[in-house]
Amino acid sequence: MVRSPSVELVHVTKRFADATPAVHDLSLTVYAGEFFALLGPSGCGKTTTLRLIGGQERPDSGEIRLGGVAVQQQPPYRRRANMVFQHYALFPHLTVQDNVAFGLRVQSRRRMPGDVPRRVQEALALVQLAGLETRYPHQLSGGQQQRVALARALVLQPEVLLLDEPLGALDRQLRQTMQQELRRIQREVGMTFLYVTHDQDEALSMADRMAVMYHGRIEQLGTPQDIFSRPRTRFVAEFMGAANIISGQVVEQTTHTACLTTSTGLRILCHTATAVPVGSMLHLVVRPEVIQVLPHDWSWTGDNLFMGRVLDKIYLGEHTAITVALPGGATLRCHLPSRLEQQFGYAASTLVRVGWQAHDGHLLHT
Amino acid sequence: MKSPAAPRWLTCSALGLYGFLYAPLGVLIAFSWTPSEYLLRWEGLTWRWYQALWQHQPLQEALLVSLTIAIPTVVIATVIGTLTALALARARFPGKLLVQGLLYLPLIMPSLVLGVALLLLFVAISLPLGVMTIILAHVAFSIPLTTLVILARMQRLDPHLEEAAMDLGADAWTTFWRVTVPLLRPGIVAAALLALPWSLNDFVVTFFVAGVGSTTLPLRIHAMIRLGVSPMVNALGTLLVILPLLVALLGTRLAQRQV
Repeated sequence: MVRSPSVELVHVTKRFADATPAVHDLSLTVYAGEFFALLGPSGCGKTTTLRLIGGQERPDSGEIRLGGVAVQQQPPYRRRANMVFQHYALFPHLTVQDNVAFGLRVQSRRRMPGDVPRRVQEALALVQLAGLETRYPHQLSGGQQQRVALARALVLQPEVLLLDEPLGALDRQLRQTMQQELRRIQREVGMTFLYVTHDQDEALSMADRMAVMYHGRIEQLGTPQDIFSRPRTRFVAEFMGAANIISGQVVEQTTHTACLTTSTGLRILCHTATAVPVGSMLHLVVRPEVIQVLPHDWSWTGDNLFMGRVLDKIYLGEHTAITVALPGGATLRCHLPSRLEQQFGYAASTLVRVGWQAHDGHLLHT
Repeated sequence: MKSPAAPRWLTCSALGLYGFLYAPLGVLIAFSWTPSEYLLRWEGLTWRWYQALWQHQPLQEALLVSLTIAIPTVVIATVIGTLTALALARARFPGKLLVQGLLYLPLIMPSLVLGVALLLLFVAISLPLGVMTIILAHVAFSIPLTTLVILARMQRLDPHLEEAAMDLGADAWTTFWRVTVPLLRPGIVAAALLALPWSLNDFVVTFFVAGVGSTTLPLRIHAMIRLGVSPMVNALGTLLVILPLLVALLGTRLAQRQV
């Protein structure tokens, strides 16, 4: 199947008053029918990117295409991209029905033929709000307002639906329900969704593909699995919650395995798909949940095994985070299932054995 | 939860303050019902002064003149105020701070100065004094008021609402009429309701710029009082307190129904 591009950004730059550009020479293609997430910390340019596509901002340079047509010079009301705003921006003086019908009514003369009431009904049914047509926004709960905002944009059948942290204002449980709802709706209508969020879990659980942004650029683009388990840069690794980044010099390389020594004198084996030159400095990512923490007198056949002392222990619910000090001063953050940790009952300064397999480590490209 | 009782001194000073504010009005209203020819002598109740008012040609004519001035003033000042507020809240242009500062000036400038200045201006451009010049003068001192009231409302509006309208396909014009104006309506109504009594009440500025045949109600009352005070003025005063109050209450109710 040939995928047709829905949104294309070609070398787009946007600079505000300050010197550093909010979006820097960004190129990105989102394909039709895709659920694409833009993930990044606040100030990384993800919302600006969205607003450039929606037309609320104009780029300084570069091209933006919607369904193959360059739109960067068009005002927002001519673009087939509709936005679900972070705080919904529902019209407080209009009922749910009139909010959803707004776009159809103001555009009817130009390009929105068809039966307005029927399409409003369909959109409200899709977001499961049938029956609330005559309410005003202030009479709805946060989740319901969110659904109205969604219906108001969906009813126009845009080329792409732009979602700006739409679940940010909802509580945790409602957020999870709405995540599933959004995925269901996206599958049902088969529309391109471009979703901006700063929440890693949200991006990982919803997106078909995602991009991590930092300082106005894309740091890494790929499937959620790719980005979670094979971060390309130090920033992505840290942002995706991999707390252990170990720097070391390559002292030996065999097929698929490199051996590093760190400045604190540890020898670490690591799987590598590509050849790495002996003598080069590399960064190794070890996710906290792949590290085993065992009592010091237990034996285990891991590729990398070290003795260490428990420095600190934080209960996180499902997991317990344990910080282990290794000889030489390095520390490792490890996540143990809380049920397991409770059996061992590690106290501070307990001597433990920590270890992981070579293929659980991952070398950064930079 | 029951709120704790206010201390006694606070209650007393509050009552004193309200007494100070409203006692004169009470006296005025009370004496509009007594038949005495002399002010401040109570002789029982009567409708007499209201009936006299009803038949008093000069006062009715003056009221008509006042309304002929107030209604266009309110319309013009509210429209200009809305547009000025829109420009100050949304647009970025050089000298914006200066414009904003100059807007507040007429609010603190003595009416006397404004009256003399306007008179000099009208004479200088040889505009005949009359209803027209009074309207111009009233518009001039009402614009800061309407602008500030509407600006206050506009600054509380979520700018994303206008963005959302544009995003949904409305051009600037449609967005203005279907989103901005409906949301500003309470502010616009409040501005108009404040500008109306300002225009009806004004004496000082009007005194300078009025001409022959443009005697407004305050000017007429002033003229009458100079010849000796009739209790009819009390009756008129009562009506002038109660009618605007009713209009204001109605306006507030209407404004609250929206949004």
